[in-house]
Amino acid sequence: MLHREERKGIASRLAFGASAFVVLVALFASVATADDCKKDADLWFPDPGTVLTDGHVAVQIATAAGSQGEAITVCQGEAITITVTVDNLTCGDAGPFDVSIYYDQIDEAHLISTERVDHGLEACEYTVLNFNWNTADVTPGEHSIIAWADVHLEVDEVNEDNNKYTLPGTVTVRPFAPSIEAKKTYHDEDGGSPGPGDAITYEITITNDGCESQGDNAGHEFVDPIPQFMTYIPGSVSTTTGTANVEEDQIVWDGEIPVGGTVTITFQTLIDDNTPNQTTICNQGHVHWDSNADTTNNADEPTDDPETPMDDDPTCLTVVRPLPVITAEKTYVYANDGAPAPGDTLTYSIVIRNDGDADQGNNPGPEFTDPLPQFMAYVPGSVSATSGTATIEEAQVTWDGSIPAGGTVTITFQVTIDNTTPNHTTICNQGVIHWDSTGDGANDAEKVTDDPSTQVDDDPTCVTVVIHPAIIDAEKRVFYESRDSASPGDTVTYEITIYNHGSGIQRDNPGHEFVDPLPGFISYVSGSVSASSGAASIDGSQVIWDGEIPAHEVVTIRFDGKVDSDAEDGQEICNQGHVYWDSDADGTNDADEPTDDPSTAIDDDPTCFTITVSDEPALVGTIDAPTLSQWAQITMSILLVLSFAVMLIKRRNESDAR
Amino acid sequence: MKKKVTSRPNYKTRILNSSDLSRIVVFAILLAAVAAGIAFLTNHDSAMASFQGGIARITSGIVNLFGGRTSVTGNVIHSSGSFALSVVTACTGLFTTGVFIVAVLAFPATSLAKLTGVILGATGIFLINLMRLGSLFYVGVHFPNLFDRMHLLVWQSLVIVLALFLWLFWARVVAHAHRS
Repeated sequence: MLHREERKGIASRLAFGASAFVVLVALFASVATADDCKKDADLWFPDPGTVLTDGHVAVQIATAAGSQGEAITVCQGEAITITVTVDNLTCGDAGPFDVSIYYDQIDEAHLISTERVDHGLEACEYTVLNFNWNTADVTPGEHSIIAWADVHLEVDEVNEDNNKYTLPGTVTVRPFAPSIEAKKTYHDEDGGSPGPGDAITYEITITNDGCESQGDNAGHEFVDPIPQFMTYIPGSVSTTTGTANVEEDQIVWDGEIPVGGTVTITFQTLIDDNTPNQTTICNQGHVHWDSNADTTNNADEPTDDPETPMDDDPTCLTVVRPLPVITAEKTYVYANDGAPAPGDTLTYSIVIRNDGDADQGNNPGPEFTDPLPQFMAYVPGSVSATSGTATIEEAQVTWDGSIPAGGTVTITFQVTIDNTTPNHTTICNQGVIHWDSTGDGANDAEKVTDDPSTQVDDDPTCVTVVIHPAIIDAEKRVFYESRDSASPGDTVTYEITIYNHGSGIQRDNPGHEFVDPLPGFISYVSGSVSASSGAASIDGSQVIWDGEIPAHEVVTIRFDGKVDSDAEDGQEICNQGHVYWDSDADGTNDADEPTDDPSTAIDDDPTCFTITVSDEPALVGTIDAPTLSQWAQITMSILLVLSFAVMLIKRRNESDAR
Repeated sequence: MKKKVTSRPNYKTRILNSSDLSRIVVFAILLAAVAAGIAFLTNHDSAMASFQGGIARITSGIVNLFGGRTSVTGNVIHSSGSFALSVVTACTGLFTTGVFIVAVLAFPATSLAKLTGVILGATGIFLINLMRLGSLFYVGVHFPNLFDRMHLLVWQSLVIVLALFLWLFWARVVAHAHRS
């Protein structure tokens, strides 16, 4: 427990400490405050709407009678009130200073007015000043307003760059004269895009925004030539005031336009029927007006097309003719399965479509041509069309006819793939449409057919020919004269049967398609070889055959051989022919198929038979050889009688001599 | 220059007397008779069957002797192939032998000479005919296309010529040496 004295001591020490703390805080605060106040002033013109220290907002504005804001328009001589707010941005005091208002630039010639702020501005203080600007001596035109807090080196400022300020917006000072603006618009009476024959209504609006009326001076106040490809519709011109007429293919107007007044002139034209498609027709009227109020029209204001961002540009329209829009697709079909092969017949179909708004006429020249491609032969009489006339001329299909808007025509024709077409040949072709893209009755545009089976646009229609190879098999049989075997001297008949089991043809390729060497002890019987098709012959000691074997067809070759007389009993005579064929349909015989003896279970084995010599000679036939024929006997008799007589005579003579 | 004079035999050349003519007539008649008889035999082959078969076998034997493979059935000579040669009466050389013998018998000569002539002629013509048959068989087997030419042109001419030469040889040599 503390004593009373001790408690007093502690309390007095706490009070002293607190007092010392307060003094120190006050001391630091006073030092800090004394440091801000040492800064220089900074005068500036806050932007409109800036909240000032007392909660008000800054005002920087010019106003005139009936005109306020950022675009002030006054007639020359009218007064403008300019209100500016000047603020001291820092805590430094600003001494007395001037605020001057200029237009366009800061110099004596453009000084509007100056006011002295005698009391200056303390820290964060502001002041609002009003100035009157008499525009009597101001050049007509668009001007800016500049405010300047001019301290004349009497005030030290942190930043003097913000002492000048250009008020937002402009002030337009107009002379005491008319000020003419004109705009010209059009609309198609039929709606939509302007086209040949359409009636177009032009509307010209002339406004006088000047400070004086536009009088009806000498000459026309407005002139608007009728443009090319347009014809004025008589009686169509009208005006809200003044007088509008047509003179020498141009619209003219005469009349007054009061200050702030507007006159509207309208007239109609017809777009000529022969106007080409996409023709842009422009025209522009001209307002002749009095720019200096001397009652003569010395200025020219061209009409403006308000639909464009450009100023004073002509008013244009683009003529869009209703035209045919032609497209065509070309496809093919064929009867067989799989890929087309040589000999197949394809049926081409070309569908020509007119998606345009106008008919495609039957103009001079064909509307469609389609050259026949290589390796394809036209099937006579196969071309036809759903309308018009389709023909074949000089190896190309042509079509003449018209296609109504939104209509189609289908042309079909057939071709046969040449048998000489190499395997995997891609045959492409593409028809061409000749059509009228401008509506002038002549086919000036071309468009190729498209193969709709591909993603590519306007691509040719292609066919890849695949030749199916032949599949060859061969059998060889032997036939004997009379019995089940052959003997020496017998004639045997060989029969070779060549089958083409494939779906492709075996062609008569280079080299022999069949070769059959004669076996030993067999002699070819002259003239005996024959074939059901192609050409069979004997070449030395072998039978040969050349020819074609259509798919699923058979060729039979026969020839006779005579068994040699020195063939022995039991001797086996074998031989085997070979078929050389084209297994990959490339035009060369790359495969060898030996003949098969169908009388055995073995595949592709030679054809054999055994010689049989019978113990009983075969009395096939005998020949008798008389020693002398009848005539020889007579001859011999005569010769013998003569010899007999001669020998008698000779003998008689010898006897007589003795 | 003195010309050499060659002397000629002093006899009178004569053509034929009545005796010669009668002999020729007799010969011709006999010749016709023999020809008719042989023609009869030719048309009746059965009468000569054994003779034909004999010639066929002899011919086959000769051919086989030279490497051929023949067989004989009756009067037919078979080759190993389809060729066969039939020995008929006309093939035996009977007519040639007959007229040869008639010519020998009709010609004026001794009996010995005539006997010699008959034997010579029959034997010679028989051998010639065997040669003919053998060669024709060979040609018929191996060169059938030449068979007819060989038979008709070559061998008939050869048979006539050889028979005539054989008779002339006999008449000139044998009969002349043994004339009466």
